[in-house]
Amino acid sequence: MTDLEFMKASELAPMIEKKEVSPVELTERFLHRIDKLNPKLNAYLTTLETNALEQARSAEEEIMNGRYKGPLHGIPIGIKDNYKTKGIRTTGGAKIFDEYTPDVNATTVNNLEEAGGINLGKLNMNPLGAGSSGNNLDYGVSPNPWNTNHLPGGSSSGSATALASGLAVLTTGTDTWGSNRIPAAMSGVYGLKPTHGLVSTHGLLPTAWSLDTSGPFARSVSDIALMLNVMAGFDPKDPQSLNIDIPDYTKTLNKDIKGLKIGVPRYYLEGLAPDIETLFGKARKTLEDLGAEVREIDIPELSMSSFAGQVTATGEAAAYNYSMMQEDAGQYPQDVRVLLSAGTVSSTSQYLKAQQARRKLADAFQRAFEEVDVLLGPTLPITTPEIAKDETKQNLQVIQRGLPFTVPANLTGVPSLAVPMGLSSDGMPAGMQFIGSHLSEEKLMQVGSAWENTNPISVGYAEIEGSHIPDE
Amino acid sequence: MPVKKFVKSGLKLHGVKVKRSDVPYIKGMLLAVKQMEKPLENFPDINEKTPLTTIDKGVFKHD
Repeated sequence: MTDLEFMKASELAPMIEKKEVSPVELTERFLHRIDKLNPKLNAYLTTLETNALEQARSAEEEIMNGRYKGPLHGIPIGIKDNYKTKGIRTTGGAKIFDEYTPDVNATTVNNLEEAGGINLGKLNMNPLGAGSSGNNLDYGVSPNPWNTNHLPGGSSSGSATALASGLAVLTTGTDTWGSNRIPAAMSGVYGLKPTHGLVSTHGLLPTAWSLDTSGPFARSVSDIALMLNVMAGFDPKDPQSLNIDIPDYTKTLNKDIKGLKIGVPRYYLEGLAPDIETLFGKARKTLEDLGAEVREIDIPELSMSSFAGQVTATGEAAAYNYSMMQEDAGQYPQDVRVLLSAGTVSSTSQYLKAQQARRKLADAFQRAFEEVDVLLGPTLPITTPEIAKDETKQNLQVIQRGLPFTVPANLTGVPSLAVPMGLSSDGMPAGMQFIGSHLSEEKLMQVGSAWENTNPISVGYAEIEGSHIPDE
Repeated sequence: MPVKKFVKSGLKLHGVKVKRSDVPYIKGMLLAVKQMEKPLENFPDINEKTPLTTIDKGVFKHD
């Protein structure tokens, strides 16, 4: 068997169910790869060898005894390090939490483990989710496997790196202002920012409460759907959790998109790097060829999203970290401290003005979704940058460039699915996002899988430079 | 008040020790936010909007 490490969960699951693939052997293969590649890729901050093998043995025993739980049973998964894990250190990517060991699991970790997922370890990230570059001044960057001189994107940097380099089948991420979608774009994988309240945030280390979401990361839309089936659902421990029926998100995969109305906000066409403009133009044409009706629309309220996103995120993050900043601000990495400081000195009236802008933007989105089924835009206006020396400056720059494109979905609570769009002229991935109305994840799976079937990056993950195991 | 001074005194007021090397970055961020705020002028009715709030299930018992 070859390239098991790069297979989708939807491909592995039937093999595991038929006992053609052993969860123990699969987990051992991933642990071997992590052992070899993680010193270079720094995707995992904590590897859970003993724990993972124990879970794998248990999964194998259950399957051998006819108790197959479903498509995630025996699948190795990486968990972003801001999800609390019982008895396992949870750093949030920051040294101030270096020795923090929670006594509970995040609800979604429980969901994934109860579905039979194998927890391989805890994944690198921008400290405390406060960034978009993927830099980590505390534990070091997890470089982009496509070219290790480039940023992976953040904050869920390790989640994307692990997928692109075959260090996990699935990973989790969180998205406050683009943290799932930006690394998905820069690293050529798929990431979902779900409807606010669809997936529990109980047991996450918060970045900004009113914007935070927890979501799936994968190398395909079908795997995003499988993960969402397990991660979504009402959680009484999360006051923002929606008590609704959860559909089977795999049902709309591979349905055609003939007649689907896709709106491209003109705001998303401003200031694009030439490569992004070219790739996005081609993508629009491809979607039209698939039968979708693609047209440009105006949503002027989007111009308020950077202000609303920046003020809301830094204000709420500053509130959460207030006493720790007073105690010893020096314990935070500089880029995080700068963001928290800006939030600390922002005014309450600015914060409330941001919430007024959010309502206007939410109203504008609602009007837009009366005209079109989904919105489409690039995930980022820039190509994937090389890692710069001044990581603080770079993180702030990537945030400012990404914010207008990604934060509108967080401000309004709507879902957004990030997909690879193609490769820029330097061979690095670029991405785009489908944005839907509240609880339209099924539609996003439909349009996302139709797009995926066009093979947008046309390179196998196993061909990526950073995914090769160094010589023994 | 010059932004640099505002940053230093603002953080001091909140009991947060200021690192001198951070000040240019914080200043840059605050100036960027002021720029980002400008488009709000195109929406003169914004004050008629109630700030976005949520009905928190923990306190709202009659749904």
